[in-house]
Amino acid sequence: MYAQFYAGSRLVDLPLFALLLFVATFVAVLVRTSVAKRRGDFESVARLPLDDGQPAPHAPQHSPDGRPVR
Amino acid sequence: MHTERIEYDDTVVRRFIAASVLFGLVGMLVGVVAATQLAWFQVNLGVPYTTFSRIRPLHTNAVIFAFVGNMMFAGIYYSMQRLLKTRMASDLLSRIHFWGWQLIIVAAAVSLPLGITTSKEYAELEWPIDIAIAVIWVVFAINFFWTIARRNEKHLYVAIWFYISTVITVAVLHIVNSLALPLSPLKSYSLYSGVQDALVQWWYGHNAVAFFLTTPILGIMYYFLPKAANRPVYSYRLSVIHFWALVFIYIWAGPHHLLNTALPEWAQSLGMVFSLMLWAPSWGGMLNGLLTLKGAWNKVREDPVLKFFAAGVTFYGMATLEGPLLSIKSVSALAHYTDWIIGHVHSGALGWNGFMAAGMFYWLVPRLYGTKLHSTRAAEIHFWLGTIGIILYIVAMWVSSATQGLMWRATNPDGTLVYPGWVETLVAIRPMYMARALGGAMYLAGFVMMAWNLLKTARAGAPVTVTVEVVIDDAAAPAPDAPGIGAVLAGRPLWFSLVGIAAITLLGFVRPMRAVVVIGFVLLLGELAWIVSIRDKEKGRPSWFGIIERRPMAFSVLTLIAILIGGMSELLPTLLIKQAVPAHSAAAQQPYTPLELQGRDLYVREGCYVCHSQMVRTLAADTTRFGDYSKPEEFIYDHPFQWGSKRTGPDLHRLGGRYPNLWHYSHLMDPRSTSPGSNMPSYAWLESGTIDAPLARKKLVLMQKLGVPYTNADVDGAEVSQRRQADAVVTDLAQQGVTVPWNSEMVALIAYLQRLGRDVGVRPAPTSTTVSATSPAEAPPAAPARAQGGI
Repeated sequence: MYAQFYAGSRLVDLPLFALLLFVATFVAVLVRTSVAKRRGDFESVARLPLDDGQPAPHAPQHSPDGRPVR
Repeated sequence: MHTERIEYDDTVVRRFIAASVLFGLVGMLVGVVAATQLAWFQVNLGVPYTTFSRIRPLHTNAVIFAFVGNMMFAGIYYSMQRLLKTRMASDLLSRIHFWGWQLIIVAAAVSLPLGITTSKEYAELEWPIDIAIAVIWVVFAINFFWTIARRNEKHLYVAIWFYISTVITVAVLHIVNSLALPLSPLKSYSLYSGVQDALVQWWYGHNAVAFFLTTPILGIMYYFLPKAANRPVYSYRLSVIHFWALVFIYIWAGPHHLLNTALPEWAQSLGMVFSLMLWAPSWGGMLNGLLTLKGAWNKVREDPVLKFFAAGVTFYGMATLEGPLLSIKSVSALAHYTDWIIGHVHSGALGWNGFMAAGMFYWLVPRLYGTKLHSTRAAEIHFWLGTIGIILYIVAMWVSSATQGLMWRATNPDGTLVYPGWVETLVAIRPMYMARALGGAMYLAGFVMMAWNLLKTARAGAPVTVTVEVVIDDAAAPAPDAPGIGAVLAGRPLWFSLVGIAAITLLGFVRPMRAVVVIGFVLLLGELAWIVSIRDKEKGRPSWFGIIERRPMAFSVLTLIAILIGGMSELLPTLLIKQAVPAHSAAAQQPYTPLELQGRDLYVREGCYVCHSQMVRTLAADTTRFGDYSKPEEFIYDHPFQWGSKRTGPDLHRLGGRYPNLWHYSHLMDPRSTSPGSNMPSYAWLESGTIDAPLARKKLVLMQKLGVPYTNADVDGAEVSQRRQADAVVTDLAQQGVTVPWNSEMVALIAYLQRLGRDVGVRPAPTSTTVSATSPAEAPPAAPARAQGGI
């Protein structure tokens, strides 16, 4: 039976179906991540690079031998 | 909650940056020299060590492992200390890692031009260097995981995930692909042969791109782009999906390098389908990077750091759109072996890796030296020189590829080739090779400006030791009553995913009606997972994500499982299958003779595979030009395989017996004497070089150990057999007025070339009296009757 099924279908049907499914999944994930509000746990983690204790640029620092940086 | 003073180790970061810039200059300069040789072959100055086929591996290794490798380590060491709020666990291990890695690079820079190579692309380094790489990588891994264990931040930011996947996967790839038996301190033979070797190599090769050139740089993107834009990543949720999808899917895509070849169809199809799927996570990551700049695009106009990052991420998107496209079998039929692949690789390497490196360096160096960037204007010029250089390069390669692909397959109404001479194509694309060299030179010029700019910046300041006070959450380590490893393994998302994957796999085996049921089951499973996750959230249960993202060990194990699923599924069936070809029968593929084996090693040493394939694909364009398509059994004694990945010259798999020995001698001495217009350099040094005759016996013994069915009599008579076959070649050449010693490298290489593609064993090589040196159409019986192409 399945041989007849495939014989009756054009070869492009299955890849097209797979492509649609694939694109739909991609778009769904993208929409969900774009539309959904950031949850608290994600937000705190997402801010980690901005909160790494790095002093502001050009703040007074010292070189390894203790000399002030120019 | 308490505060702690932390002094970051940025000395190692500064060192890695300096090494990256230095080796980047060297690697790109070698690349420009190599590119120039394609247009003007004389640029090698007739020296073996500067010839294209030897310096091309030097260029790729230098750019990948020296330039990007050192840049990646700089980014990892800088960002992980800050993300984990701790200093690297061991300064000593950091130093060993740095100096060990540089030593490996120097060893590569010396050995590759000398022709000491395994010929496996991006894994050309010989076994002692391979062992050193493994040791240094373990040193890095110990320091890396030790630092994670000592962290003062309970969360593992997504950049750390990408770094973990790099550390684990590169180790697996390197070890599996490098397995070999040593012949001498500088020579080894791959444990795998033929189809198996090809599959393992491109599983490695593709995933070297994935886990050395992509995942660590994505980690760097997720850290440095938000830092430079001063805003968090656009969607952390998307970065989580990006990570798991990328890691799981990437590992399957290797076989797309072997489409339409002798690789089993199922493996080719898997490689193609997973490559197409890879488009989604790649673009998810690209969009996440670009959307992080939302609201900060005005800064991009003025800030060279953001400019490089934005362009780098865009090139990532372009390269990852192009990659899946090239992985479609019908597209590959046109594009594979052409310059499109070279253009694709360079849009990734120059655009993604190079620009991300530039952005990171321009951001980091002023901070590491406590000063301002010396010249923003110079950085701007660097950006435009680089961008125009890349575009010139890749457009030239596109045009070149379309020309090659269409000319190779063009046929007259009667089925004959429109362009039977290979050189016709080569002459047509020569202007593109000139444009490519110019594009590369422009990119290099921009890079030189960056090196100067960074050096001036560093000299204007002084190395900064950053000491910060960070707020430490005392709950950084999981509390004793927190969900343990059991909760990770029993996590519902994990099981939902595994059952879902199993069900989808079933789709390939069931009849259509049952397939509908399976699809329904998968959809229901997704719905159920959704409901369960909402209920768990309502009940205040910790999410599986929340459990796993704080457990680096569990996380690492799951990452390992994710990459092993794909790797094992593709490699094991091919590696475990019993060789289908009888080893002892009249019809069996015969092993190489001792002299052919010596010649084969010279073929590897000179890097002939860099420009010539040994794989007639199952395509009309290939079989019409080169002869019968290549069969898997023809390669079972090829340790390592020599299928190649690019055809600057024609395929050689059916070369054996097609031309007389004199033709080969003349061609190797002066390629233009037999093929006017060819850009192949002369290999005249082969005439004066001599083979190590007693080594033939040892080579046969080693091949025996690898499963090649040499008898003990073959081994004992190796030197006699070698001499006899060499004498036959020498006598034939002498009749044409050419005198070469029997132990000349030229003789051994000719013997090997005359053997290629004779799948039913050794046949006598044609002599100069049986075949005209200038008439490829009059090929002897051993040559495929239909082949129309000439060199």
